[in-house]
Amino acid sequence: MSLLELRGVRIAYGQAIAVQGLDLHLDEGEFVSLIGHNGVGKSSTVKAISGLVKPTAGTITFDGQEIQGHDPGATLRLGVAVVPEGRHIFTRLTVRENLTVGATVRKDRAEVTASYEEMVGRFPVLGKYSERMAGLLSGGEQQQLAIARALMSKPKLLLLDEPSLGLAPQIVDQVFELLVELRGQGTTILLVEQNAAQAIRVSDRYYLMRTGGVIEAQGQGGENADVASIGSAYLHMGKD
Amino acid sequence: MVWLQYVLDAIGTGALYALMTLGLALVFSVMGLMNFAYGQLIMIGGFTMIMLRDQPWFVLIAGTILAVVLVSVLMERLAFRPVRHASAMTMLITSFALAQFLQQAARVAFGANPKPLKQFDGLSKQYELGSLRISTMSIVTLVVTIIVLVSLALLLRRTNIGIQLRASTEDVEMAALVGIKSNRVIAAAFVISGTIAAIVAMLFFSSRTNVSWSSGESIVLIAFVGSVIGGLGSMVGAALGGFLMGFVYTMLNALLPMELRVFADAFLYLLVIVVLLIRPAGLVAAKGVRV
Repeated sequence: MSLLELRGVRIAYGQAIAVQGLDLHLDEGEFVSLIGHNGVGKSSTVKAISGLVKPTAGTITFDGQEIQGHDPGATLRLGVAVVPEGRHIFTRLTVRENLTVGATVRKDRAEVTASYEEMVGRFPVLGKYSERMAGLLSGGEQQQLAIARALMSKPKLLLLDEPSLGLAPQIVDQVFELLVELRGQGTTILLVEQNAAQAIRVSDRYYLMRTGGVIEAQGQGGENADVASIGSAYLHMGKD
Repeated sequence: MVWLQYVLDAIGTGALYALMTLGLALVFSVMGLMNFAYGQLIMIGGFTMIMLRDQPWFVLIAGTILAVVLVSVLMERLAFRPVRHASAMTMLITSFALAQFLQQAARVAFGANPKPLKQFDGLSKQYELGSLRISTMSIVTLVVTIIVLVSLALLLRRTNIGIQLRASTEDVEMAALVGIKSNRVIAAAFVISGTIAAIVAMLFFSSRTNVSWSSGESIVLIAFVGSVIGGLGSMVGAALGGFLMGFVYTMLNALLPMELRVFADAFLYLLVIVVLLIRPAGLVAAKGVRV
């Protein structure tokens, strides 16, 4: 049984349809990428899974439960944590407070301190700047904080929306290395990206989305994936 | 030395206005609501003081805080929660309607004429420091303001609910994504705002002779303007804006020639316009607030 399954999901904002009849699934422990150009409906899909937007049709099943229409807190409690586009760290909170807030839904409060120590061990820069206002961190550091904050909730599924956006190429490489490392530790990941080639290389599978949230193509990812042919399809879609 | 006396008096008034502004600004920061019924909370505090005037002082204080916090929480639950996701204009109109309702309810319950307050003789006692005079009331106001500001800062920085409140004031959508319950955070903001309103009521009415159904009107105007010039959405800005309103108003009343003192309000609001022309987002602009 899939950990996450979307069936016939339709997302509309008034008369404007962002996603029409989307089907996708994700198994436990998998790293799947959802790639596509800007504005094809990727972020709407993330919002629907996380509970920020209610689909107008279709079902979203997570860990055996239908979650479409759940509020974001309820979805997070079930184990879906989001690293949103633009990071959205709390800039006026310290790094430590951002991480603490990430554990809001956890019931094992006594274990939160141990998780905090684990995070600053995994992301040393966050430990170094733990009492600094998060808004003073660099873009790459903020991205690490956004990922660490999501991990503080001990999610079953990590949902990342354009984590490479606005970052220098070298930092983007570091972020992707980090995601590979997390996947190696057993974290299930759904990565939404415009940076198709890099996303496909680090993923087990990918979905290529075109305008209207329609899946144009899907296939196996990894180092041996035929990124060139996917890239040509991707470029062709851009000319439509 | 006469200048120093003016400054001392102005600091006392500024401290009280800073408190007034904080209570209003806190709710705005969390839910984007400018609660114009906030002045009526202070008015209700005044009438509660009348009802409890024969009780021991600690019953009067606890009773006033309890009554105002209760009305504040009910206000959120019954009036504002149903329109929380409506437009800012709808929430604003709701707050005006609520303010009118509470005013008229007080008029029906306590009558149209102002009701006399109990005079606390101890609070008007004056101390002399050389040529300077300072009243017990000014000292109490300053001490209470400092205690409230420090307590609020500790609450916002050291407790989970405080950190969640600050997170919600910055990015309400992300706050929801990390599982912060908006109902809980907003209710907490109304409890804190109500507590501040009760404290303001006790400080404000302790130096007044009466309270009437319309007593909240001028207070909410001061708090509103204070939070605007301080910077909507910023707690530090609110405290600063409120303080400056009280400080400048007292100094104008002291320094303007006698024939111009009747226009002190006009001069104050002229200064407000100048500040807003220079810094339209207020003295301490918060992120993401439209002005």
